Amino acid sequence: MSTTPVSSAKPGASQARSKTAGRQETIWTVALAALLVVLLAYFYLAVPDFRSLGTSGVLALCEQFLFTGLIALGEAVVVLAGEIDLSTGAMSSLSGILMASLWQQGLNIWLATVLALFAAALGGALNGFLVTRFNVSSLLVTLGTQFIFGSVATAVGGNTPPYNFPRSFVTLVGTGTVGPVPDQLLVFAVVAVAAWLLVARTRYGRSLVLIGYNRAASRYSGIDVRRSLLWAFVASGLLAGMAGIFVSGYYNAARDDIGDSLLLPAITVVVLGGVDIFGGRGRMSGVILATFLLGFLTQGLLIRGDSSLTATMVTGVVLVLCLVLKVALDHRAWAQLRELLRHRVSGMGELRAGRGA
Amino acid sequence: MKQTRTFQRRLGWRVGAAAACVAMGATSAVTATPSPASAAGLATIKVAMVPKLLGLPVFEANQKGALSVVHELGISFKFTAPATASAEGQVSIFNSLIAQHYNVITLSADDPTVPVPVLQKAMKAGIQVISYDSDVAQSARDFFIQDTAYNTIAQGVIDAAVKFAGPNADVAIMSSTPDATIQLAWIGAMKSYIAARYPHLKIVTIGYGQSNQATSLSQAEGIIHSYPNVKAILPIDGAAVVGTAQAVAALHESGKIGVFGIGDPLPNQKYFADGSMQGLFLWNEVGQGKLTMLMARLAYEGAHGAPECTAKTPPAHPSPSQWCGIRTNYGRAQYFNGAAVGLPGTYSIAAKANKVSGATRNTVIFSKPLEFTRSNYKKYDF
Repeated sequence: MSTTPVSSAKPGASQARSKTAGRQETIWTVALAALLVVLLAYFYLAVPDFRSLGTSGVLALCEQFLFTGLIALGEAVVVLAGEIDLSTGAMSSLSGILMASLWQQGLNIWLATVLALFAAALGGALNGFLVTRFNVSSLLVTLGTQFIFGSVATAVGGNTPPYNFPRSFVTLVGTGTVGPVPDQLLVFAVVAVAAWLLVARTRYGRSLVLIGYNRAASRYSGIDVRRSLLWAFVASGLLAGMAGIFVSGYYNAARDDIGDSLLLPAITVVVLGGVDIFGGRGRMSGVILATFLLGFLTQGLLIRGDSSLTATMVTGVVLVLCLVLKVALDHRAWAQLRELLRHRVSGMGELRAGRGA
Repeated sequence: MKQTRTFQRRLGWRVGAAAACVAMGATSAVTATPSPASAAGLATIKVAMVPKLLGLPVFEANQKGALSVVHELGISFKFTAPATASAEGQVSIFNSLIAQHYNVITLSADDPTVPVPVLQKAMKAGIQVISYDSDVAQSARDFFIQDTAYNTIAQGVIDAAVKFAGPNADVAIMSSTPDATIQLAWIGAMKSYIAARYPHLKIVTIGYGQSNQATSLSQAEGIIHSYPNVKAILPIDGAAVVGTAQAVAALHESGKIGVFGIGDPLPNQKYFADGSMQGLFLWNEVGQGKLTMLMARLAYEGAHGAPECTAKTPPAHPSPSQWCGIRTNYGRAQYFNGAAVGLPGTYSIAAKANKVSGATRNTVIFSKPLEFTRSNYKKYDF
């Protein structure tokens, strides 16, 4: 059936497909934004405790899920390129522990932060190196490095990892605000815009998406696939490291397993954001929106009085529904396209046949 | 063109459906909060109980005890926790409880430091914070309910082992991890009790099961193989208890090597029944849940101007005017009576730390350990 369209229709089809894909991405992003508005409106109108938080209180809720968002942004870069990074959670733990331990050794905490971020980028580079140099699946490489990063964090952190950081640090990266806006939100906004620009507006970003969409084609078009992928993993490592610093600041404590619980939510955000888990399709704007959608959904349900079990379950239901919907959409798009082509081809035949009769 | 428009419309419909799905998902979520039913004249207060995670029998037993007394205490009660033990998950919950204007938060902490900022925020918002079972940093709670004194539970385990294996035997300990606070304290208490009372009893080794049943099993088997003279193994962590009993049963040493540990009887019924487990020590988790709720009420009353409790107050069935309160800012011990929730005797709140019992400031020691043996294990459902 699908082979019926004649070969001459193929270039047109692929063009039409990318156009539909682009349209779908737009629709998905708009839908996420609409959902976010609906969700916030619902909580505001139906949950008095949510309403009584006020603007600053609602904004402060972000402090509990922006770590996940930071990791998701980096993860999205890697996933767009058709790879995955499972080591981001452990990397967050490691960077927090490194920062805290260096500080405990007497280093200035900001210098310690810079060094920890550098180490995180280096860890990402290690992932990228292993993946591109030895052609091992990133799933396996990062599954492995995840354990390495985690164990190093445990070893460095020791039995009682450091806590009680200087006030200035905790305020700036943890719980500080500018007016009603948490510092974390401001930093996230900057990073998110940068990530969005990188993917949507730069040659590098477009090449990443192409690598994810069709690696052979991207190679033929002169893209240095290895180098592009390497930098994608560096970005992922760096952002995971950043998340680790924020987590430590927010909890005012480092913990060698604190990032473990961030990995799966981050991947959830990436997928919910409309990024194809096999790469090549998706937008950063979707990931950014999904961060807030999922975050406010969880926090709102908790404030509504639901148990965290319910919140987790609802998150799962929403994710599955969205994915089923997305796949259905894709099929629909394909079917529509085929139908369109078939109509055009066979319609001509029918017309001719009709005339003949 | 027309077809494209239909296509878009269909998409639109689907997007709408997705929105509806989320909205429905949000509204149909079920809560298990029992309805508030205040005792006559007593102002209802909102109290949350947040254990380390959901689904653990000991924490459910706490909940059962709490539920049995919240009506008389005028408490609107909520039991909530992360689905897996997670300090970050607890922090999210604490944040939501602050937003919901709870009066008292009771918790068993997954981590002593991570929840400190959020609990201090709660205390600043006028919420009383009471930890039980597993403490947070002292600066982040008002009171702590310690399960039992370290020295008494250590004595219970050692005495039982000596009764089985004699005062000159070789014994081994199975713990969780080398840095687990409470296990370290118990081991220390056992060692000092042995030194004072049974100088010829020898601890030949300490195995670490990493709070994992499979690891505990292989560690315990290793001990049995490498120390053939060991007459008793003392597992002092939930996973270690099960793993040790499994090892003894698997190597056909049931009854020859005694197993005396610290743990709850329900997961170990099988090993009591087949003779590979001789004795377990724990505290009455149901009673601990009752005490936690009583202290929630007393802490609330104390913060709202009620007179200080004494060894005789509150009485068994207090009227609203007979309630007393407990406070944290006294430099001396305080006392209160457990009769209001059917607990016998007087409880004392330590004014300063006590190395022997392990109590820190503003700590109440709940009870003497309860001993579970082959003859009584069936009576307990935690």
